[in-house]
Amino acid sequence: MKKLFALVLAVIMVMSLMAACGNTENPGTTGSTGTTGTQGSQGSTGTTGTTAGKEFSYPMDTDVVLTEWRTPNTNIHNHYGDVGGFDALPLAAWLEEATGIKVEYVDDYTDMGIDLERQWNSGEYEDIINLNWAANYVGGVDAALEDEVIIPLNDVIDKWMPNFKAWMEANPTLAKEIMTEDGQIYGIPNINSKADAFTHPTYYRADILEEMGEEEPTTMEGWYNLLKKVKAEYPDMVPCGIYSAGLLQYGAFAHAYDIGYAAAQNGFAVKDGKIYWQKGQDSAKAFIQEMAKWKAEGLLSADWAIKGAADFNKDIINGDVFMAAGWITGQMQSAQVAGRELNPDFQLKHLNTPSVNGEAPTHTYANALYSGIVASISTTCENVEVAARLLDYRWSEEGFMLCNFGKEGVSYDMVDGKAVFKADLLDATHADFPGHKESILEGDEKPWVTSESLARFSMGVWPFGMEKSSDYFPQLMTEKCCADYLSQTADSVNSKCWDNQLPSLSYSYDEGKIVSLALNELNTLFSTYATECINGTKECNDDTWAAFLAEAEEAGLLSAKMAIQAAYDRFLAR
Amino acid sequence: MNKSFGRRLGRDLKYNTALYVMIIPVIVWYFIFVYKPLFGTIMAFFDYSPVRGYEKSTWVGLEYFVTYLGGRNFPKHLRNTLVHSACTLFIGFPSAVVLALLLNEVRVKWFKKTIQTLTYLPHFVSLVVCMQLVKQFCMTDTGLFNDIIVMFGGERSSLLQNPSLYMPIYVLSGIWKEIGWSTIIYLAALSAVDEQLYEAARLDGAGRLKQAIHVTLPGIMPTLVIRFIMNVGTIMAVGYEKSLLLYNDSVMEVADIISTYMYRMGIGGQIKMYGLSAAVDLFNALVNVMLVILANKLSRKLTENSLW
Repeated sequence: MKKLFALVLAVIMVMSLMAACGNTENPGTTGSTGTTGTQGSQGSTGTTGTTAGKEFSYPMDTDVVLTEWRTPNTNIHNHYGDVGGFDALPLAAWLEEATGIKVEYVDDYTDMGIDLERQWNSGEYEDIINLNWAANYVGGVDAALEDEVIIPLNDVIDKWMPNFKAWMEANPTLAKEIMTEDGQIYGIPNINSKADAFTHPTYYRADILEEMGEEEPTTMEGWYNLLKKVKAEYPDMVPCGIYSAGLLQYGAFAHAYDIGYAAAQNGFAVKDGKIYWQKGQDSAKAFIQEMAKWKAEGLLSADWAIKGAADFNKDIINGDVFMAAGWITGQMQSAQVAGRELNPDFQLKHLNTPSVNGEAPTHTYANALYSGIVASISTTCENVEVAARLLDYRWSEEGFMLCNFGKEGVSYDMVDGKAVFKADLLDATHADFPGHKESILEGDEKPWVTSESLARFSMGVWPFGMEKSSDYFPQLMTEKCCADYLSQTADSVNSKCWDNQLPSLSYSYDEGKIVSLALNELNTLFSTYATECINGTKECNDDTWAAFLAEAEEAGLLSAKMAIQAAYDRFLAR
Repeated sequence: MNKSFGRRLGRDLKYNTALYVMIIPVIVWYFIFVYKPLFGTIMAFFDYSPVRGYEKSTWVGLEYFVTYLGGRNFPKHLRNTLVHSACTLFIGFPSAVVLALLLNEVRVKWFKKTIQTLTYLPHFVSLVVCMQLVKQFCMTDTGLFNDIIVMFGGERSSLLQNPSLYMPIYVLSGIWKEIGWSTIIYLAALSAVDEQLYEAARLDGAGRLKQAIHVTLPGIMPTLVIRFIMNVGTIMAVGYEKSLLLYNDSVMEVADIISTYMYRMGIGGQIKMYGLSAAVDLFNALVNVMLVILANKLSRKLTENSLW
């Protein structure tokens, strides 16, 4: 009896182990979009009219069912994690109706890295994969083509994608960015119609500025003097509460000194055909010295290197800091809403990139046109023509409007020639929106944010290979200060931000490894050096700067520059 | 009587079948979660790509080992890892023993139980939450520690951005979190010490301190030695989680360790360098094995106690 009991117990324990085997977590990265710089044309993005020639028209008469995979958008995961994904949305139904093509959207995975590994390991790829290959595939897109994961699209575009072909002909420089060195087109890009503001503003309390009777400075010296005045007149308020990444990478002051993130491909830019490392310039040294001065005089928060954007956001809401930086919806918009509830006069405003020494800033807050994500057709897709037609539809005029704004009269109206979302769509509760009760959202009690609400009707929220209208994103903002910020384009701000930006380059496998290894080291090296100097642990002088540069060279700066230069030269020669 | 191993095993199986059957799940667990994954360490010798698999990934041999061990960061990482481990071992380890000894001397039951409960509790709280608490306590303007410093006439400062304070904060926060849990095994060992030895010591005129030194410590010495050897075996395996949660750019010189570098390269980076990460981890594991063997040998020579 005792033996039988022990045997049964042992079997139960072994089976419980087997059950646990299926539950793994992978701390892999999610959703990296690998923002890259672009060069050249910001003009027409070539939505070239309605589809096809005489022998083809939408909707297609086909029974083919395609699968389409894309990276997640964690901003809208709150609801879409529960609701069954893109498949269940009104937009998915409209797209199927317009194209005649049924698509199963694969987005119900819990971890992007694990799901990608599933595809790579099994050899069974989804028909269409929307991915930043450079950031998410070892060896980049060249390896993905060599490994026969995806197919080159040159012939496909010629045969079945007239709309996209027309766009490529109208935008030859951008078109080069979706090609490999030997001219293979690897995907249909996720691209913005126009260069718009980088979604990480630096912002300040405009109501306090008005109270002080001051105007927004346009130079670094002006900001320094203003922050000193803020410290004198509001002793309980920290003048500058910008967190580490906001100060050293994403923020207005970093851009003023030409070391900002939005401007360059991972810290490298180009001048007169030569690649340079932003953070090795004299302007970077000047930036560190200026910030060290601010810190020493108590203008910069003592905890700037420890607190995050969310912490400083709380501080600006509570009136503990005058200035902060963060993402447009997650921080600035939420701060504006919360701050106004505490204080009706609370008003935030974004900073324009100030100038240093009176010169116009070289870079400013501009998103790259091309995000790095493409829609590629996999080698296991059995109906390449249907997949191509589906993708090409998005590049027609009709497809552009449907993908960005939904159905006219249902989700948007045309106002003065521009598509404007219906007001109840922008209302986060949107309880009165027609069809809401009948939709999959019935009974849902979680409050929706605007981007989630729009995600039902606009593909612009989701990282698909398509052209995104620049009229779409500002409408996501419920606060005017945020909409004003996003309505800026690189054209409207005094800067030469495009002059030095690198395009999206294609590296060889070995080059990719060199650059990737070096970047990791160089970014850590700069952050460490800058933080130590700003905190006063180390002095930023000629000796320490020289030592820093020497260490950067030891960390692979030269080999990275050579690799990037070679890739850039090949890009120009394409 | 010299019976063969097989016959002795057969006899043991017959009389203790239940015990052998109960150990089957343990063996299965070890096979699935410990031995089978060992196969993956060959990734350290490949430029591994999940799509290509081992068959088509490029064999690089010892390239990643050379790259890392010969790189500019290795001395710093090694130094920091050893400092982290040594501080945790030589400060954290005796702290738990001292607390166990002190608790053993407490006669007021409710007080003893209260202290035990309070010291155990942080073990059950998530590391992320604990470290976030520590960070909040260390904040310049609003942190509890700075408030206490000001109360005693000092000045506020950003404690976690001070490289000379980082290690004390790291070690002390670890002690705060784990000291209670670590005392459990020592308290269990203490309860096994024969009471008659204490009585004999008291009769010989030994006070509490002398009893602790001459009776208690020798009584729990085997447990101490085994625990010490096991801790030495993890001296290079400082986990990245706590460092990632606590460190920042201003203390990288003292806080960046082998496992945080491995995380940045293998998981945290945009391009995952599986091979490099596996090589660093394999190096770590090999050093740990050598240290455990060495510690075991030394312990057997010096104290006649050892793990094997």
